[in-house]
Amino acid sequence: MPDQKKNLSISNSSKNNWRKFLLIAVMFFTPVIIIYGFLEYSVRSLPTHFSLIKKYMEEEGEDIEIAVFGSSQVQHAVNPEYLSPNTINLSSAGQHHNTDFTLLEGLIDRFPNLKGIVFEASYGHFEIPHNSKYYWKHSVFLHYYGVNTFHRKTYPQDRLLFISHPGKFSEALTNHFLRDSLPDVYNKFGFDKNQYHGRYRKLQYDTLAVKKAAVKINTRPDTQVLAYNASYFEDMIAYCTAQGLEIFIISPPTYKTYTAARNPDILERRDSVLHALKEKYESIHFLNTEKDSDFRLLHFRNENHLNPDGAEVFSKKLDSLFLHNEM
Amino acid sequence: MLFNSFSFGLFLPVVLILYWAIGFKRIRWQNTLLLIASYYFYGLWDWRFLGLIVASSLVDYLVGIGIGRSKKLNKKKAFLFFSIVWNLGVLFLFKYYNFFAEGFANLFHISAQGYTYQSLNIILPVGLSFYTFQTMSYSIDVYRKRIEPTRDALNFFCFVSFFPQLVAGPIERARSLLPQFSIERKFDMASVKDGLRQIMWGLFKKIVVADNVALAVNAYYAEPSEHQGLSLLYASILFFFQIYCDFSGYSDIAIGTAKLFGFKLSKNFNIPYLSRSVSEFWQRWHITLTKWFTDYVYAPFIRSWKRSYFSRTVALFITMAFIGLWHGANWTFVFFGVFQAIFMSLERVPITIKGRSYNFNYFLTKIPLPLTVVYSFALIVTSCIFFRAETFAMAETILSRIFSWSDGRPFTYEIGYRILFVPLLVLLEVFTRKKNHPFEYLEKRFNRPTRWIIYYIFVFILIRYAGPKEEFIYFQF
Repeated sequence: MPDQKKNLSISNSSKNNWRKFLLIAVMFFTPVIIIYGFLEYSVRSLPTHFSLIKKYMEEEGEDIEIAVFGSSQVQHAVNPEYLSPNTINLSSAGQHHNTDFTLLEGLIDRFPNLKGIVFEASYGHFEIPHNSKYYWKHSVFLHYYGVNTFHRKTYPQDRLLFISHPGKFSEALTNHFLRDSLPDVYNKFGFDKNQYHGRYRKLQYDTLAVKKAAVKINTRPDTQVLAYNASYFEDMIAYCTAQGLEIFIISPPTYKTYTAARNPDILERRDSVLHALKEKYESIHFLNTEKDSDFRLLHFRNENHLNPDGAEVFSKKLDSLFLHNEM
Repeated sequence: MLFNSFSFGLFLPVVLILYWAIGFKRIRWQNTLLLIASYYFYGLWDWRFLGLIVASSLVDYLVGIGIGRSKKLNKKKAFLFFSIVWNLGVLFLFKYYNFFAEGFANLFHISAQGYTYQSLNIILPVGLSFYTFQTMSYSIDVYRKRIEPTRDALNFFCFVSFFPQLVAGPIERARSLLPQFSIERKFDMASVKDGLRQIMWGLFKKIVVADNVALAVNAYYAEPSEHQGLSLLYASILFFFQIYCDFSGYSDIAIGTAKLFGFKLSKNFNIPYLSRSVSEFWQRWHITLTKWFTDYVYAPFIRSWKRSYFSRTVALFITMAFIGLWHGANWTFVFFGVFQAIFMSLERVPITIKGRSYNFNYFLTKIPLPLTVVYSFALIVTSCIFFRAETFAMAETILSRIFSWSDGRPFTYEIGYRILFVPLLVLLEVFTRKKNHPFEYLEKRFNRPTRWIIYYIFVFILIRYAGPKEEFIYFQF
C-alpha cells in the first residue's frame, strides 16, 4: 500500500509538473512567435525590387515581350523604362545562368507574348561556378515569383523570407525604417532609380582616387567550369530557339580599371564560346559595351556596376538593338 | 529533418505533447509513439532507407536472442559473425565499396590490363555509421555477456532508431540506453528545463558559430592557392571550430531533446580545445566513438597481443586509421587518424628515470596549461586540414602555404564582426567548464526574470545572426 501511494503521488506530481511546464513554455515562446510574425510581415511589406517585379508581372505579364536575365551588372544596367518593347528585368545580384534558366522555364507560360530573351555574358561569367552564395534568394523567388529554384521539394518554411537570411532582412528593415540616407526609389519595373551609392560615390568620383582603388575581379581561369557553363548556356539557347524567341546576349560596360585588369585568356575563351554559338544559332544578337567610350566615370557605381545615369545610356543602346531587330 | 530546421521546430513540440499526454504509466504506448516519430523523422530524408534501418534492427534483435538461447560457443560465434558481417557489409556496400574498388583497381592496375571495376552509384543513408555501430555493439555485448539479450522487439527497435541520436549520435551502448525504454519515465521539471537550455546552447553553436564560420572556411578553402598563409591558417583554425560547433552542437541538441522525453544520453564532447595532449583530445572529442573503438577494436588487439609498447602502438595506429576511415571513404580521413596516432604514440613513449617509468603525457601535465593547449591545438588543427581537404594535393598546398607564409590575396575576416562569436563561445565554455553546458550555470545564479532576459537575448542572436543553413557535417558519416 505505501508503495502504491508513493507511485500515485509521483504520477500526480509528474502531471502537475507537465502542466506547469506547458504553461511556462507557452508564456516563454508566445512573444518569440509574435515578434517573428511581426518581422516576417514587415519584410513582406517592404517595397523591394522583387515585390515590384511581382506586381508588374501580375498586372502586365500578358503584354511582356522581352525578359531580361542576369546578375547585378544587368540588374543595374537595364532600366525597362527606356525600352520600347514591354520588358521585365528579372536579373538580380549573384544570379547565374542556372537560376536564369530555372526562372525562365518557370515563368515562360505567364508571358504569352514573349518575343525575346536577354542573357548576360560578362567577362568572367563562363568561368565562375553556378553555385551561388545568395542561398536566401530561393525563398524570395518562391515567394514572389512562385518559381522553385531550390531544385528539391519545397516545404512551407521555404516561403518564409525573414528566416531565409535574417541578417540581410534585418538590415533591410533597419535601413527602410531608420537610417537610409539614400532610400530606394523604384519605378514600376522594380528598377531602383536612386541606386547611386557605391565605391565611386564614396571616392567622390575623383579620377585619381578611383584609379588607385583596388579592383575586385576574378582572374583565376577555370576551364572545367567553362566547359560545364558553356554547355549549359548552349542548352539555354537551344531551349529559347525551340520556343521561337530571339536571343540578345549582352555584356554591360565596365570601368577602364576593371577592363584593364581582365585576364585575356578568360576573355578570349568567353568570346570563342559566343562566336561558336553565333555560328550555330541565327537568332542570337550581341551587345558588347565593355569598352564603349560613351560610358564615363560618372555613369558607374563601382568598377563593374552602372548607376541609374549609366543604366539610361545602356538601356537606350539596348533599345536601338531591339528596334533594329524589329522587336 | 534537420535539428536546425523549421520542420523540427514543429515536429518536436507535437511529439512531446503527444508523448506526455499519453500518460505517465503507459510506457508501451509512449515507446510506440517514439518509434513512429523516429521513423517519420528518418523517413523524411529518404523513406527508402527505412527498410535498411528496420532490417538492421531485426537482424541484431534476432542475433541477440540467438546468442542468448545458444548453449554452444560455436553457435554463439556464428550468430555474432552473422551480425558483424551484416553490419559491416551494409557499411561497406553503401559507404566504402567505391573507395575500396577504386583502390584495388589502382593498386593492381586493373584498368590498364583491360578490365574495369563497376562503381556503384548509390547515396549514403544518413546516419548509417552511427546506427550500425550501435546495433553491432549490442550483439557483441550480448556475446560477451555484458548484457542480457532483450526479447522486447519494440524496445529494441526504439533503441536503434531513437530520433534524437539516430543520425549523428551520441553512439549509445545498449546497456545504457536500452533499459531506459523499459522503465517508467517521470516528468522531471528540472531535467526538462535543462534539456531546453542545452538545445538552445546547441543551436547557438550550430546556427550562429558553425554556420557563420563555414562562410569564411569555404571561401578560403575554395581557392587555397590564391590565398596567403595567414588566411589559410585562419581558415584552418576556424574549421576546427566549425566542426566542433557543428558536431557538438548536434550532440547538445540530441542530449537536450532526449531529456525532454525523460531519457539520458551520454556526454559526447568536453571542451576538446582545452586538451593538454592529442591523447587527451580523444577523451574529450566524440567521446562515444572513442569509447566504441577502444572497446571493440583497440582492447581486443591488446588482449590478444603482448602488452608491450610496440604492440600497443600498432594497435593504436590500426584503431586510429579505422577512426579516420569511419569519418569518410577517403585516404585524407585515414591520414587524419594516422597523423594523430603518430603523436599519440610519441606521447606514450615510456621513459624511465631513477627506476620509475613515465611517459611524455606525464611531463605534459607538469607544463603550464596554456603551453600544452597550444601544442595539442596546433597538431589537431594540422590534422583537420586533411579532414577538410578533398585531396592530399589540396592539403599539401594549404600546409605549404601556411608554413612558407606565402603571399596571396589580402587577408580579411570574411565574416566581419561575426568572428567574435568564436571567442564568446570559448569564454562561455571555459568559464563554465565544470558544467555540461554554459546555460546550466544560470539556474542557481540568477532568478527567473534575469534568466529569461538572457534566454531572450540568445533567441534574438539565434534569429538575427543565423548563418546560412548548412547541413550538419557529421550527417555524411
